[in-house]
Amino acid sequence: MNRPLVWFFLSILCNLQTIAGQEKFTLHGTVSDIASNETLIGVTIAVPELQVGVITNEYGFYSITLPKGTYQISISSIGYKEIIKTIDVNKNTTLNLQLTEEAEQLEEIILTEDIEKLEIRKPQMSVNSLSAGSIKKIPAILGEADVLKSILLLPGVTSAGEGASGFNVRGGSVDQNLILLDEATIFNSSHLFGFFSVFNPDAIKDLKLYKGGIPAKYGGRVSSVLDIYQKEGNSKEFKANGGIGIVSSRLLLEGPLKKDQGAFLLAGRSSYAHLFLPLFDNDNKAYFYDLNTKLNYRLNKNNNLYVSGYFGRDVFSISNSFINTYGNSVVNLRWNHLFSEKIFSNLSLIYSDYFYGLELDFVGFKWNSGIQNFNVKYDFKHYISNDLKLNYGINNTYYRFNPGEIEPNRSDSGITPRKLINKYANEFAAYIDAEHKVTENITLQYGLRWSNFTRLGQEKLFIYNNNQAVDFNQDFQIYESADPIGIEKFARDAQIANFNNLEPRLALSYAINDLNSVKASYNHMAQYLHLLSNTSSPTPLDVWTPSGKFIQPQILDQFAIGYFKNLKNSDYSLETEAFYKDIKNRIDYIDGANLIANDAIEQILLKGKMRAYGLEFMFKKSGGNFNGWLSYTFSRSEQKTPGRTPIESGINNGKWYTTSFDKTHDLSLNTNYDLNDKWSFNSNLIFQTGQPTNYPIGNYEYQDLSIPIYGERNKQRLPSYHRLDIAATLTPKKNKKRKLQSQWVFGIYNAYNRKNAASISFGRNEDTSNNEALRTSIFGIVPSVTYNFKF
Amino acid sequence: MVMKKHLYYLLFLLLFWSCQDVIEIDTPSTEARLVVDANFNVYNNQNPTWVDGWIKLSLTTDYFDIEKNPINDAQVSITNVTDGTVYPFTSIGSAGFYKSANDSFVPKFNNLYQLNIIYNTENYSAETTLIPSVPINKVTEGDGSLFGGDDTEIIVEYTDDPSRDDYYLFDLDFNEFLTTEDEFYQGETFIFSYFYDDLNSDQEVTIKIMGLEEQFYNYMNNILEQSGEGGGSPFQPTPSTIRGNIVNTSNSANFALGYFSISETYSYTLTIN
Repeated sequence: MNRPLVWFFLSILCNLQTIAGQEKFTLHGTVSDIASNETLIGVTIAVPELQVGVITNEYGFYSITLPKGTYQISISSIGYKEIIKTIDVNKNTTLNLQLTEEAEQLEEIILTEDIEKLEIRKPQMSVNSLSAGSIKKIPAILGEADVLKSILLLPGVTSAGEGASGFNVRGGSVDQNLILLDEATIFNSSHLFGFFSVFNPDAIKDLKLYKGGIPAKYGGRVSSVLDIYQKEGNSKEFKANGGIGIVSSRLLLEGPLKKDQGAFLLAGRSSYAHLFLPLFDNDNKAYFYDLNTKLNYRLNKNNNLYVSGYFGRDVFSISNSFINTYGNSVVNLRWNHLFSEKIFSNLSLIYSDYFYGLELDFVGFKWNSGIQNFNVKYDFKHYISNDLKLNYGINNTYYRFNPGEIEPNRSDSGITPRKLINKYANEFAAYIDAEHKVTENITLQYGLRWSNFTRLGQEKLFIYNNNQAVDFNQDFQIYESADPIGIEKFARDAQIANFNNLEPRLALSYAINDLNSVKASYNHMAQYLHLLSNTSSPTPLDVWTPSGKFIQPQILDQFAIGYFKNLKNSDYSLETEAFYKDIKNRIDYIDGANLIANDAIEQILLKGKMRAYGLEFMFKKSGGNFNGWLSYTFSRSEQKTPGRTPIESGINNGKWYTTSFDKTHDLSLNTNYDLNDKWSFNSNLIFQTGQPTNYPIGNYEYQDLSIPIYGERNKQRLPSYHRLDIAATLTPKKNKKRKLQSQWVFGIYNAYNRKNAASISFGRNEDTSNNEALRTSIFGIVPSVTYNFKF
Repeated sequence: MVMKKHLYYLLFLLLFWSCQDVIEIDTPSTEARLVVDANFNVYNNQNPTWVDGWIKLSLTTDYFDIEKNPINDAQVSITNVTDGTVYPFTSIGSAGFYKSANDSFVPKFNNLYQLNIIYNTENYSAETTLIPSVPINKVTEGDGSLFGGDDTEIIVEYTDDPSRDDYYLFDLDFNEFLTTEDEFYQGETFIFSYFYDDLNSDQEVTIKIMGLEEQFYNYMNNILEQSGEGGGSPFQPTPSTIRGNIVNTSNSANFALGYFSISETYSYTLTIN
């Protein structure tokens, strides 16, 4: 396909470099932490006098090409002591570097002026990075540090509410986020209704959230990419760390397999609050556990192998008569190979299994459902010159969807076993992307991704009149499921539908001067999988479904423009971005649609579109004893599902309606104050417009039931959401004789006990028989204590 | 399986420090609409066949209004389209009820019935047939509980008819209803448990099973979800006004709410221990 052309283009470029100008040599290597050999991501390697610099990639690798000569090279990264080395460049050299951690606090940033200049010039926009250290310091519910709760404090990121799982980026829905854990796709990022994320903060090394300007390397989800890399393990000595909290505890063990060459990491987490419920005569259970395992081995200077596994489960049970389990399992094998000092590659082989199951004993019914996929990725990073870096590769995923298997759970149950039809699909993509410094002030990142999605054959597919699975009943002005007129059978390798999309990506950065820049980006992306959910926030019972004969892929166009400023000689920075996104083929559901155990979901879906636009603002102070950020987003996210013909009403009469996760104003103020070596204080202040909701506009009685009537969709709003969290962290002085280091985190969630409405429901009061409105609020003031330890 | 989402929400509340409280809210108003509650239960196992049902007409009110708005001056009749018989309905009392004159309305299988209402110079109509059901084999009292409280468990058993797709509505007394379809137990004997809170000894409970047409089954599912049986939750589908099978033939935009249905019904009465 495109590959021969790419190689041709590259070889010309390489030759041009050597033909033009003086002799150049390449330094390449890996930067790691001196205490653990953990590779470091995002380390800046710069030669200030030449005004060149590069950063290490996700595997700690860098490659920099310099003309012959002797230079001072600066190696720096947040939380580490800067190194300045004098290097004599006269041949291609491998230079591996090790950095020493600054102190316990990972907040201190010491950036030289030259490094800051580089940030301003990079075209990367709409990206936020968080270090593991800062995640742990953000006060969270019940003292549990949490990745998803931390990213909610960034501009452009919200969640539908306290009980909602997942997160929303720039007015996008929860299924539009590509969540990667060490290159593997995760389908459900939440435990326990969204109260915890599936990521163990102890095991995380680096986290990046792309809200826009998404490079061609990523695809398959249209709103964001949350790319998380875990630690590999300490290959120098054995270490353990963990924490004990009110609701859950965690433990991480790491150590060398072979000193300086291989390491393992094992991290586990489990909740146990349910163990106290029997004390209250409550026979219910809700708990989760997860386990992360990693092995890495450096075969030789050009080859590294990594094996990782993640296993997580959530279990809810009400008196054993209602049991729900779900979770992700992922196994991942990666091989880093250096083809040359300029070409770094990573091959990943991933198997993932997302499972959800439900057992209802009082009906005698057991239901299992899931998605399995096999994913192969081969990514290359080609450091052609300091001004041009190419990323290219391929990515293929084979999916098997099990929409459900129903079985009786006991011998006297009247349920007949039934298997919903498995669905199969294959998603393939090839991409090429360039990070190109065009002039001193202009840097571009441009790329093209070609994605192909093939819906493969399945046992049977329904046929409808005119291929219309949904009918419109004109008399009653309602949409109804159409009855199938036949069944089609397919061989497993047949193609039911085939989609191809070219996805151009472009990002530009124009540095007005060293402190100010303007950035702009454009993305065109396709998403082939859809999460079917017709509730106001996703539940674990929601089903993923592939595009095919009846469902088209979601296609996005996103434009963003931003202005970035570092205030001179200070730690302050200002970022502001405006975005507009347009998504075609967004699904909505006919009224009363039942998504559970539905073998013909095409009978309840309607096609529409979605758009979102907004303005984001972030004012940040990094460094010093007092730091933090203020983020504010003003946005709107809406959907429209018109009738397919002029006589059909569509949803909401074909008018635009806000999505259920639209948040007009979203303000977060996060502050951190380090009083001294022992104490530090943290707070979060959050204010958001209430979630859209539907209030009844009238009422009537039918068969002695009180029934509300509704008007336009999502026109009302819940009351505004706001709360304040505070936390104090005590790190006692480390006793030099003992290896154990401990830390206490005292927190108060929702310090002024605001009753934020998670939902308002309307119904008849049992005693008075009059209608009333009930507000449900989930968390009032919740104090917590967590003990963290390390040795 | 409407129950699942409610259970989910109850679990939610049980586990966490959540609370519910009543608040004052101003809800918007809208123009009043006609509501037609016309449900007939036909007991074929009694001799003579007993028809339990009436037609109740009212107007919609604002959500928090306590006063109801019955309509007593409409013209109501049911016509057997298959053989042409017209059954007039006369207004009884002032609560909007209309009963069949001389109890002459006795629906039979395979006849098409049309309800006609003239109200406010507009003509409303709806059509349906008598939908069959199956008898309840037995209802026994169990000793389990759902949430470990004072629940009373009853166990209901019935045998589905394998020759057709059935949709059932259970009236479990005390204004509690349950819908089910035979998709997962076609032709089988199906047993399920239901839990009541707070029943007294020697209390009588009457369980009724009714046969529904598919459109009415969908309607009842939506109605039950919206009537706020378990309280709202983040897991409720986006609500919208549920349309029934009644059409305003004079002015289609001025549609009526409610449903006209005729169900074969069986009942079973149990005394709680």
